[in-house]
Amino acid sequence: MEFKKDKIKIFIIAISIVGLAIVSWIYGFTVVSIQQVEEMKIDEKFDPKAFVDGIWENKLIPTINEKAVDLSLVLGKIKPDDSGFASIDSLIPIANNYGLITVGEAHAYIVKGQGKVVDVNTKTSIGTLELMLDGYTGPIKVKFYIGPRIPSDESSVRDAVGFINFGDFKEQTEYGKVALEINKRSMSQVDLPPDKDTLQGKKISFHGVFTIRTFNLTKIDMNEIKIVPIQIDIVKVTP
Amino acid sequence: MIKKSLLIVLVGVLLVSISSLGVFAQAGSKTIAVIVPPVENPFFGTMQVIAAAKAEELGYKTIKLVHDDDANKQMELFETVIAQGVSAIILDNAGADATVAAIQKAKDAGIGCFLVDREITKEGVAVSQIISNNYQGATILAEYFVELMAEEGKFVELTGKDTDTNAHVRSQGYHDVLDEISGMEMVAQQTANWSQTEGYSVMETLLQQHPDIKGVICGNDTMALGAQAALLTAGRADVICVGFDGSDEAIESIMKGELKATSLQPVAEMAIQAAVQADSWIKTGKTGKPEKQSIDMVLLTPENADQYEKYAPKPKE
Repeated sequence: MEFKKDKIKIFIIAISIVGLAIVSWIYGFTVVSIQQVEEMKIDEKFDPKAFVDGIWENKLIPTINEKAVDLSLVLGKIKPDDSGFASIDSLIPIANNYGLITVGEAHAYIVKGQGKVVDVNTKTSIGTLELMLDGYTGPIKVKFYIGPRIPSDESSVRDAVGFINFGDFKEQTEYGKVALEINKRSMSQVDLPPDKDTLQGKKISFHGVFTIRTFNLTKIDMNEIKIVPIQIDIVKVTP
Repeated sequence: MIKKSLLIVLVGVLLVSISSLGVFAQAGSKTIAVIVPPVENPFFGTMQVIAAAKAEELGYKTIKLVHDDDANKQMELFETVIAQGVSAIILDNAGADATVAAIQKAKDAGIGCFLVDREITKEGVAVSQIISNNYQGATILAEYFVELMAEEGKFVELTGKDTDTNAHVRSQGYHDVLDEISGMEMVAQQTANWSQTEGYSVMETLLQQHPDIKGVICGNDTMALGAQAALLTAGRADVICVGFDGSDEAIESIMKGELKATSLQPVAEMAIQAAVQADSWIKTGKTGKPEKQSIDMVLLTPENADQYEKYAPKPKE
């Protein structure tokens, strides 16, 4: 019996080693310092800022640059009715082609384009600007968050990049705080003039992200979209 | 990397042991247990009825049980239904940490657990966790509350039962919005234990202490309805009061112009999804979905509240 037990033990260890070898072969090794391991252990004190620091430059920004589609192309496919509403069924194929659909049935789009600022609203803490988008003449208004705040339920960037999943976090508060931190980061690194009203009439180019929520909604309001900007550049117009 | 490979080995060993038990191979009519918190709260009652109805529609017998938010009672119920040989358990659990052991026990017996509404702190034990995103629901509600308050003024918060994870998640979501705005000043924060009568009495007292409040933000609809009644009795219809859950009573109050808003829990959808995924898992061993699924909440205001009933959009006529 003892001999058999030993055999099983050896068998399990052997399988573990083979498994480990295969996994390391596929994924490659990551060298981690003891300090980092200690940091990983303290996950009760989840630090959304550190998490976002770890992905922003090397993963998030490249994903935005790589996946951005022309906003005018996306909006051109969406056909709201006379009162500005669209059916979920009509939006799903568009999201499948140009964006992604989350487990929670939100349609998230990474977009780029340029246009002329036609309105700047800084009356509340959630400031916005409205853009007349080049290449689009349809009814959907295009707005951008310009801070100082972004609504806290806004999770477009987190959801659109596709590599930040609910299952990777201990619970929903951590997942939510990641979205908050990403939004803060977006606002702090987008290069806007201190007096945002001076943007009025300017031509800008942009990279940004927006979401159309569909879950449990009876009809989808497409009168306007609100974009979280990742990059905004003022385009110099030569006279 | 080491973690991953260990997991692979563990899963392998587990699969071998489960298949040797032969639990997947039981013949005859299968049963699904639906275990929820006290059904006096229409939220849980509705969820249990919808989940059981869907399971029955899919050809299962059902057992409906209530754990009264007591983790010990929940464990006893688990032991009972495991002994009865149910195929799956649909559960709105009695505590994020305390529930893990019960679910592990079911898993060891080859029974899949499908969590709805509340999540647990461990992954890889339940088959599915279909979570109502309370944090998102709280932030979307708080944003609207801030808008109604025009970004300034004194307010009070009524929080839920301290032992309930969602009481904390919601309050955290509220504060991640409200604390960011310098003009918003919380003058009191008190629990009313999810209860309508306590909501009334706590509000009565708070109004006397802070007659100059402009708003009340509540952790659920029943407390909000209690607080709203106290406000009306005191002649303070001007105070902005908002709830959370999207119950039919709250919707009725919103349409009467009393409560100003609530966040709608996706109760019906979660319950149906749980039954559908349990069915798929029983038949194929898979659900086709990630374990943790976050489902968003919808903000209900006088503009859209009448389009909803029984925690779902009204069916189209």
